Amino acid sequence: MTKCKPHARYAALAALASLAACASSGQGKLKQSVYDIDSAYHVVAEPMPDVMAGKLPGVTLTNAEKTLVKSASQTVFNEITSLEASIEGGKSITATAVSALETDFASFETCWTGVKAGQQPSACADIATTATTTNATTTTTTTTTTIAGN
Amino acid sequence: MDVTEIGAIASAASAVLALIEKYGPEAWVTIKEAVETTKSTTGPTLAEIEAIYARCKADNAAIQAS
Repeated sequence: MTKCKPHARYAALAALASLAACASSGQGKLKQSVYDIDSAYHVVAEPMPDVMAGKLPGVTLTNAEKTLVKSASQTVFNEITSLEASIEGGKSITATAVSALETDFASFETCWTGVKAGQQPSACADIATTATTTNATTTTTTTTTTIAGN
Repeated sequence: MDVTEIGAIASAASAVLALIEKYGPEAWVTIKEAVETTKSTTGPTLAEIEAIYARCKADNAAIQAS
């Protein structure tokens, strides 16, 4: 049985619909949003290694597709890490950063769904480009350091 | 609370709900935990955020090693 019970979904909807009455501060609500997206990332990402290893019948990823998916995952995870560091350090998180995470998570999820279906949605390229653009300086520095270290 | 904040919060809730429909029972435990923290008046605790972050970290590490 693969279908979620409707009443369970409605119960979840009812709980989330009351969001406005919960987590009293703006920061509390933004933290809740980070937690929600972290949860969503976990749901999507957990089975990915098995699928990439060819354990899902009928789905075979090329090396190029695996590279794309890894890049997309890393982009989302970097953003999660950044927000996590702020929360742990007691710093404020911004709605802009949370929105960026949501946008990139949506691309990641769309990309993964497409790749599994044998397609390469533009979302894959979008998120890979985002990673390159956003972290260009950091990536370059890290790469140089790694090469020097080897 | 400004429009950006409200948008960010609503989008996160929507993303979680969409996954319930799409991934079904396999996703249910994680989604249930997310909904339970939503019901809290103070939002998720630091320990709860650290716990879900640890899962994400393990997921990404496994993906990068694939």
